[in-house]
Amino acid sequence: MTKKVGMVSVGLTQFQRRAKETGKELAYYSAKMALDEAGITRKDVDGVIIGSAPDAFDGVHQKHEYLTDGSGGFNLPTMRGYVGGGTGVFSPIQGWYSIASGVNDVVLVTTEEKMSSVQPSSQAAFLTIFDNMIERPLGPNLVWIFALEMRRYMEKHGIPKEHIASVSVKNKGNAIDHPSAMLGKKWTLDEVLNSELLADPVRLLDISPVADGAVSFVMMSEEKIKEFGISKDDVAWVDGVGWNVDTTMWTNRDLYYPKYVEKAAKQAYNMAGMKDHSPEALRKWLTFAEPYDPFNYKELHHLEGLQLFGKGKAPKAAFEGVTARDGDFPVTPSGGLLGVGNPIAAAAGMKSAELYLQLTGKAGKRQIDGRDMERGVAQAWGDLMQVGTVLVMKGGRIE
Amino acid sequence: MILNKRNQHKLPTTSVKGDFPVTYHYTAGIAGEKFFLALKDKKLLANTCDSCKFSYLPPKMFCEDCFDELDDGTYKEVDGTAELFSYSEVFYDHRGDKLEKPLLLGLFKLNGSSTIFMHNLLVSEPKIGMKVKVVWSEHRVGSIFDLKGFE
Amino acid sequence: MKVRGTKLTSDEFHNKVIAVKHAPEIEYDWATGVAISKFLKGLKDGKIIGVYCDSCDRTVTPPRMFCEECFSPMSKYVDLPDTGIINTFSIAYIKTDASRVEKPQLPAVIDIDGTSISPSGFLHLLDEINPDDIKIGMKVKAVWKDAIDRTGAITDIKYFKKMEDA
Repeated sequence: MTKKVGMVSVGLTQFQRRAKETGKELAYYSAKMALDEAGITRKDVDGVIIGSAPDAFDGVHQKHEYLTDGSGGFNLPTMRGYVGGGTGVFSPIQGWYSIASGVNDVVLVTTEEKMSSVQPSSQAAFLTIFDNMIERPLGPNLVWIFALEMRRYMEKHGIPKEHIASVSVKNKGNAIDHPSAMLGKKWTLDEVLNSELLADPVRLLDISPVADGAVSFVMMSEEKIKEFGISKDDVAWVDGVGWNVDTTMWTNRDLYYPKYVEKAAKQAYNMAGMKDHSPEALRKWLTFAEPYDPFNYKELHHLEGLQLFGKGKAPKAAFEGVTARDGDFPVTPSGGLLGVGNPIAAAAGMKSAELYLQLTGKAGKRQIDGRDMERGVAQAWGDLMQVGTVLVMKGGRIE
Repeated sequence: MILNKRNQHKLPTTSVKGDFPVTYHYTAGIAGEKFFLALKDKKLLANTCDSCKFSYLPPKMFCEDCFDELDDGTYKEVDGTAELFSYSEVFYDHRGDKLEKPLLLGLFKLNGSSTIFMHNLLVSEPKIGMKVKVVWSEHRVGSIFDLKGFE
Repeated sequence: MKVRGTKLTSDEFHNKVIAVKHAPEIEYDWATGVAISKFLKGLKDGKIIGVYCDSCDRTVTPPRMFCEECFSPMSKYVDLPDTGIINTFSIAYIKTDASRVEKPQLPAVIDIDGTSISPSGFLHLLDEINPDDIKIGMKVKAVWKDAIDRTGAITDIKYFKKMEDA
C-alpha cells in the first residue's frame, strides 16, 4: 500500500542567460523559497532529491555532491536522479516514490542547471552523448537531431510550418506573465517563420534559449500535511507517474512519434485510475497540460504521445487556438522552455511547478480562469531523445 | 560467461580516440566574489551563521545546516593565523607526472573559522598542531593564489 | 512571487566578475567493442555490416552484440548493400560550436537496404545534390573513400548520393 503524496510548495529562481550565482547558490534560492512557502524549515525535511542534467554543463563532476548543501541535503538521505532533459519531471517522481514507499515523509526536491559555465556553447558539451564511433566523426550537433526528427514528423503528417511556429508565438507570449522568464515577448507568426535558418526546418525562434536557473518543491505524505496543518487549498496531490525509455539506437526507430511518451503517459493515467486513453476523454479528465517544449514541434509531438491529440492532430489544434491559455485545452500556460528559458533539469522542474501553481490557484497573471482546476499533466523528454517522464497531479480539493 | 569467452579470442582490440573540447567559465558567485575581492586587499574573510554560530572560510551564501541566508553583516576579517590540521607531501601532479620538486599541501584551521582550508604549506618541518600564519603574494588579482600559503 | 538571481551581461560575465576559466585536458580512448569493431572493419573493406537476430527474425544495422528487444546474444553478422533510402534529413547551417557555415551540411538518417525493420540505419551526410532536391524516401548510395585511405571509420563512407537509376 503506497502512501498518498502531496506537493505543498514550489520555489523558483529567475531564469537567465548568465547568473552571477554559483549553481549551489541558485539551488539555495529555490530550495529556501520552497521551504518558506511551505512554512517549514530544513529541520523538518527527512529526505532530499537533486535533479540535474549532464555534469558537463555546470562543468562540475558529480554535480549531486556539489549541489548537496544548496539543495538542503547536508546530513540527510540525499539522491540524484538523472535522465537528461527528462530529469525535471523525474525528480518529483522520485520525491513521490521516496514518500509513497514510506522511506521519507517530508522531501525537498531541487532541480538545477548552470549552462553559462560551458563555453563557447553548450553544444560542445553535448558531443559525447553521440556515439563516439559511428556518429561523432560526422560532426553532429543537437540542432541537427531535432531538425531530423521535426522533418520526419512534418513529412509523415503533412504538417505546415505555420502550425508548428504558432507554438513559439503562444509560449513566448505566455511567458510574459512568468516571473522567472527570460524571453517573454509577443512575436508574430511571420517573425518566427522568418527567423534565422539553423538546420532546415529548424529556425532560431523554434528553439528555447539555454539558461541558468533552479526550481524546488516540497512534497509530503498526507499524514504530515495534516500534522503541519497545511490547507487542502495549498496542496496538489500526485495522482499518477510514469517513465519510459526507447532504444538508444535512435536511427532504428521512426522519429515521427514518441512511443516512449505514450508508454509513460499510459502508466501514469492507469495509476491515476484513468483507463480511457482516448484524446477526448483525457482532455476532459485533465484541465491542462505542460508538455516539454525545448523546440516548438516537440510540444505538439509530445501532446500526441500523451494521447491528448490523435497522431498528427496537435499542430492544427494549436494553430487554431485550442491550446491557448484561454483555449478549450490550455497547453503550457507557463510559457514553457520556449519562453521562460531552458536550464535543462530546472526547465522541466518549472513545468512540474506550473502544475502545482495552476492547481492551487497561485499562478498569478498566468492563472487559467473560467474553469475548475482539477488535474494537470507535466511531461519531459530527454537522454538522446528517448526518455519520457510523466507526472499527473490533481488539486487539493479533489478527492 | 559463455558470451564473453566466445568473443574474446576472436576479436582484435580496437578503439577510437576523442577529446572533450570545452572551456568552463565558473563565476565565483555571491559569497565567492566577496572572498576573492578581499584577498586582493590582503584580507581573509569568514562569515558566521547567527543561528548556529558556525563560521565558514571561505564564506558561504547560506548555512548548510540551518539554511539561513548569510548576508553582508555576517562577514568578518580573520587574522590569518591558523593551526596545521593535516598535511601531505605530494610527488605527482594531477596528470600523474612526477613533480620536479615535491609540494607540501596543508589543511589549516584558521582562527575565527569552524572550517578547514586547504593551501600550500611553506615550512620545512611540518608538525600537526603547529601554529602557522598566512603569507601573501605580492601580485594579487582576486584568486586563490593571492595567498602563497602558510608558514 | 518573488524570484531571485543576479543577471550578468556578457561583458560582466566575461570581464568584470571574479571567475575562473578552465579547459579540462582530457582525452578518451573508447573501445569500439564487439559489434561495432565488426562494423568498422566492414567499412574498411567497403561493406556495410548488419546483424541478424534469430529469435526476432530481424536484421538491423548498426550491429550490436545483443538484441535490445529479446535480449538474446546476436552473432550472425551479414553483409548489407551500400544503398538505402533517406528516412529524414536536414540542411544545416549550424556547427557543433554553434558557429554558422555558408555552405550547408546535409545530415540524414539513411535506412539501409536489406534490413528488416524500418528505419534501421545510421546518421550520415548527403552530397552531390542540390539541397532543394532532397526528399524523404529518395534512394541513395554510399560514396566510399579509396580503399587505401579507409581506416575503419564511419567516415570511410564520404557521403551518400542520389542513385542514378532512381
